[in-house]
Amino acid sequence: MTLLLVENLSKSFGGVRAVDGLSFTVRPGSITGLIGPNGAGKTTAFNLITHFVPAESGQILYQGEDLRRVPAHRIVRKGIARTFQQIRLFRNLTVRENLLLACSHTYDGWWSSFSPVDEDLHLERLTALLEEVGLQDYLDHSAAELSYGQSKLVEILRCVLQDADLILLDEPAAGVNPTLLRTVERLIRRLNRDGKTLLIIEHHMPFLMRIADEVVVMENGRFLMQDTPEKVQTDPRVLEAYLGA
Amino acid sequence: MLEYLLSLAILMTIWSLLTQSYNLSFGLTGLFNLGHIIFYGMGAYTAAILSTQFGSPFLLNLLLGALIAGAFAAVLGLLTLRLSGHYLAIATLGAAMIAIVVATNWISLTNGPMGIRGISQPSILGVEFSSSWAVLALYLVIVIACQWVLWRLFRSPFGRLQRAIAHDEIAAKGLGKDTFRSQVWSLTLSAAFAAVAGGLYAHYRLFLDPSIFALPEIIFLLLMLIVGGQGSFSGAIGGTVIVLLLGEVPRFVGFPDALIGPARNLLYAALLISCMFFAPRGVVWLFTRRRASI
Repeated sequence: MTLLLVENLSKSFGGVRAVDGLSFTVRPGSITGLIGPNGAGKTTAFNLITHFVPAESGQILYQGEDLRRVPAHRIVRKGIARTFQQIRLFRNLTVRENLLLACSHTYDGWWSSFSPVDEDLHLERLTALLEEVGLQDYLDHSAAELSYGQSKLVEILRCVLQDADLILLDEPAAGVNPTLLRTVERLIRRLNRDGKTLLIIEHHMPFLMRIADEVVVMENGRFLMQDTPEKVQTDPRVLEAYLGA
Repeated sequence: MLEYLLSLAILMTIWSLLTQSYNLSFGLTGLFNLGHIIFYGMGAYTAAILSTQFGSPFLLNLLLGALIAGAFAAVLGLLTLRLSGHYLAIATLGAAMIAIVVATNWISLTNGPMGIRGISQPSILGVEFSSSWAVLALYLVIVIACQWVLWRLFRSPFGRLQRAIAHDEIAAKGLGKDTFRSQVWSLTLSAAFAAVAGGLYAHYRLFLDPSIFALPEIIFLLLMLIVGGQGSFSGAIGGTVIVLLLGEVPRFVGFPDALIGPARNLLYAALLISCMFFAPRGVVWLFTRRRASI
């Protein structure tokens, strides 16, 4: 059974073929890693799946529905949330405001300014999530005051609050200290236990190989292999292309 | 002297609404729109034409001006808001230039450069507000009501979304927000309130010509927002008061009449440069020292 099916996906930027006939699958309830050398096209693949960049050819089927004509903002409502390689918190807002933006789209219209808005409904959930990652004291801090690792955590929490079934994390472990990395790992495992499917781009191999059920390997925009972490780590093609002998 | 002070207070009241309306689209949502003065002018011309040609009542003129300018802004937004930054600025500035040409040359509607005379004084249910005191009181009530609505918009989840879009539109899209629609709404609402300010101006001055669309007006508006604090609700009001009061200083320090204009421009330039150095987030921020001052 497949939650996400990427088939023959391609995208060029000028003369550079960033993604070239990429195909892979993501099983529901799995943690799937997406690895490859820098410039392999991993982030572009994320951008194609979430339609931040339109694909030139190929298919992206999520729960059987083709996503290529769905605008980026509607992808979230279909059940796919994502983080970005560069942290994209709203640094002009507080942590609470950053998280509330992810909670609901009910109040996005201007008319909500004149109707009762009961955002306290979400507050209990926000507080519980912040406690889970040890950031409970930062609820009303400006997002600009957070450290790099804390910002990564809040960005992941924003994904969690979107109630998506599939969460795409772009390098959640990059630049994160060992203590926070354990928190990130705990959170990912908990989300997975709760039935969420995760697709994770990561260069931190020990971290990814610990948590992933399957790993997709890319090289030069192309699919190299998809298998269990154990098999990927010993495959000669992967060793040559990425992991080193 | 009293009449002069009242006139200044009325203009301040009108401009505080105009600046706040600009603050919604430019300050809060971050749309670098240099055509905001079009909406002010549309509101003023709608009021002037309806008043002189149809004798329609004051409040209806304000309302229709807001609706027409809002509808025009929605169309302009749909056409231009796919652009961003400098491209949006140039496109909207171009629209403002076109508005001057239309107001100057569509003589059957606007009476061209000769302007529209005989606009009625504000009146509600047969009660005329003819003295400056009465006009000031009425305008204060209307502007405070509009400012309250804008305050609600700034403080609401809608306002929070606009601030998010201003900071990072891609991240907002990543959270499932329809940023384009939000921007169009921001421009539309902003235009509607600017048109109300324009209507108030027309019914106060009782005369209107195409100079209302002039480029210096948008520069003036930008100056008020930068001085007060872009995106800050109190900053928009503070910036309006500071800039308008500063503009009156040359009158009281014995400058010859011919030099009052240039002296005013020098003061504005000095104020702008001072703000860039000492209060880049606006003068109001110096007092509040809080991020995202409201």
